[in-house]
Amino acid sequence: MKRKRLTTAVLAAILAGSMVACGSQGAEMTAKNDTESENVQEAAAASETSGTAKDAIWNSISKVTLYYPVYFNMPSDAGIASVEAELNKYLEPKAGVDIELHPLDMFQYTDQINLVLSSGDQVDIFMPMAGLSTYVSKGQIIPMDDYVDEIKPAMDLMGRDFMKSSYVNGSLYSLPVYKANTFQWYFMCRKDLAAEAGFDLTKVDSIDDLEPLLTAVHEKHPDIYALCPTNPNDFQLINSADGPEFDNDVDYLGDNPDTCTGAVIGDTDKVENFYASEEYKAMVKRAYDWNQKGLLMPEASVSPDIASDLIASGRGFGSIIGYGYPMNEEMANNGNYGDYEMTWAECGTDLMQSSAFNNQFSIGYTSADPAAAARLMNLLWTDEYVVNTIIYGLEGEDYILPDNFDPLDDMPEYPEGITAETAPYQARVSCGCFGNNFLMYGFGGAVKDFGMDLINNSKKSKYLGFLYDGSDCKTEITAVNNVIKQYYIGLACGEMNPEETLDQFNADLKAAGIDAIIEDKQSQLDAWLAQH
Amino acid sequence: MKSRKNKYSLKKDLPFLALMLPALIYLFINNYMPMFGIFIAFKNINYQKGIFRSDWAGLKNFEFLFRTKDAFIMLRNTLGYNVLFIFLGIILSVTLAILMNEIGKTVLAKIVQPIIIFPNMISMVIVAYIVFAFLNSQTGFIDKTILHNAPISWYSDPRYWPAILTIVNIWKGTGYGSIIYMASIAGIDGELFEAARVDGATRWQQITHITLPLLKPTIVIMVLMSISRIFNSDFGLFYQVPMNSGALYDTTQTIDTYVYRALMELSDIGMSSAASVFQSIVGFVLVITANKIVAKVDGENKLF
Repeated sequence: MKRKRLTTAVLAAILAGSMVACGSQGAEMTAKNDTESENVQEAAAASETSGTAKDAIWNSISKVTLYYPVYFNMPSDAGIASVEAELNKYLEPKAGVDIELHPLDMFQYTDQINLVLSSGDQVDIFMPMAGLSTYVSKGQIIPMDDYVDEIKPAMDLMGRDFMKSSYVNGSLYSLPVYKANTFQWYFMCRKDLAAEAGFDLTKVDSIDDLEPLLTAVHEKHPDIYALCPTNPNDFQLINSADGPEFDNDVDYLGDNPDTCTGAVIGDTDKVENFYASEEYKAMVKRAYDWNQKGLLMPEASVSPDIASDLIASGRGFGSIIGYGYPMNEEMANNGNYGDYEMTWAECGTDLMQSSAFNNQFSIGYTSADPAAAARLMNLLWTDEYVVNTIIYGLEGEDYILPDNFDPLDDMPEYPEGITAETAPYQARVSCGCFGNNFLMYGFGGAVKDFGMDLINNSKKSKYLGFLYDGSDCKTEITAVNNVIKQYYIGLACGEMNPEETLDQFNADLKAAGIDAIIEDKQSQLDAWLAQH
Repeated sequence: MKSRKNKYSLKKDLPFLALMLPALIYLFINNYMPMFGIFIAFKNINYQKGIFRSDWAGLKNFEFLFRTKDAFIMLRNTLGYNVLFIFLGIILSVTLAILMNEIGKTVLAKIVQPIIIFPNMISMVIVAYIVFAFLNSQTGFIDKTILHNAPISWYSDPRYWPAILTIVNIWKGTGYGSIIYMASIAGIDGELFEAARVDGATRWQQITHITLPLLKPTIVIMVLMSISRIFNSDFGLFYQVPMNSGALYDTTQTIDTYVYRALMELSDIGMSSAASVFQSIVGFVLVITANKIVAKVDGENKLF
């Protein structure tokens, strides 16, 4: 009891301390921006008289906060401040906004955003990762219908089809990230072991085709895990692109395979329990079979080990991973797998899910000037300078462009003596969840062609753009998710025998009320189908 | 204890009340102001409308706690483990305190004391990996040394976990828990022991006739305080140590882990408040009842 109190007190103290720190930093920042904006206005006024400026002069400059996710390396405070200062020189005359950057750790993004939104801080632009309809029903985001003029260039760029998931009850609520919204699946593995097995990787079409290769490697090197988990507890063996027996692609209707409260399989218009389907059964049976044969890393359901570490330390052979990018030697050997030379096989593309465009940005309910937020948002989709500065930082400080730099296909390099960890500012890994991916250095050429090919030619779900609003079934969804958590990882890692557990799993799902959710989903889907 | 019978005099008490003031202010800010959040448990929160103007949800936010067979499992586990931990914890902590006291102020005591308190300072996440190092079937200590070629898959069989969790909890908490008893024993008048020795009492008799009876008030207070938290569980112990393994939910799911798992995706503050309101109310009722029982059995030792 006492102990607990003490911890609470200490926590409270830390929290208060950090708040103070944030507050003072914010104050400093605005003060600095004020003087700066004066300078810029003067400069703008000066250029106006000389007749060279085409930009409008803004009566007032609005502060716009941008909350975006970053991975692994958080930018430093000094780095953020200098990027902001540099961006504002450009943004004030251009759009009448002062940007305030708030990078958040990707893995805590949803939690952190919920905290910021609950506290009432100004949140102008952020990603509604927990599902657009959830934020709408909680009143945390505002419709953008009144600001369509501001974001029209971005909307025209992507086209109507891309915006399908951005409407709730007929109102526009978001802009989707412009990038290849579906995956090409790859099997990444060690080149030396694949060559030793004498296996032709170009003949692989699906994950099933990998079995002979995995078996050969396992027999020669029993102490090396043939298939390693891509992410902790996840071999990526449950996905919708898979082999001839899965012609009926699964659309999870906005959920993930591990949170699915009702899916449509094929084009049947019928919502059903994914975990009771033949498709799911086949996937978990394969996992169990491979586990029994020793092809999977054992105890993956509790181990934190992942493929990149296992392979780098010589204990793993390969893993399955999905990318929206074309694979090449350079990408494959990017250093993530240690000193081993890597090769790959292509294992099919994903079905473009109804939720493919759920990677989006919205305007928060605490926005001070939504029109200004919309103007900035538009630039995140259409302005190369703004996008590249937020992703790569400042030229000379955070990155350099080498000689003969091709902005379409080449990535900027780090300055001498600076790495991803030590750069004052960089958010390179956020490239796939930010504004317009194809405007970034290195993504405009081959990557764009590949991405556009995926966007235009991959198999699309009939229900693309359907959004399920689960606010009437919260109790059931909570209970069902708990049941799924109990079985999903064990089955996906091949540690539970599906013959013994699948029936119990589905009985528990029924008891938790999955039928009520399916019914609710079905009626919403029917209404959606009637409209489209 | 009998102060209630004296005439109350503000003037006399004022300096003492003033001394209490900082603690009272802290208590008010930290423990009473957040109670306003109880509202949220009965609301369908809409951020644009605010807490007061959001629609009422009645008891709907509480429903998920009692919805499925999980409800029974998590209530059983939370209560069962807590009762076990309270009793084992007290028996072992008191034993340890008495033993430490018997050693006296030797060099040995100076070495042993930090060692038994040390586990309490290790984060549960690290404890989880220490346990994992013992139990995992590839390179685990137990599977490699004791079981040799017959590995047990500990992380997929729920039967072993009541024992494992109890051992971990005792290893982690007993040393720290014994401090308060050591302090109480140190406060016992040394003349009592001396008189007993003069009368020819053995060490065992000293313990049963002097130490334990004088420790009783402390023990009762500690039990009452633990009972108020009987519906709360050590989240780290039940979530981290079993490595969040789904196959073990039968014996590792408690109210706190259930709420965490259920609401991570929904992040619905109404439902999470409902869970904590439920825990607090049951804790409150239990501590009042327990205090009544103590008052009936032994009026001297009741808490209030």
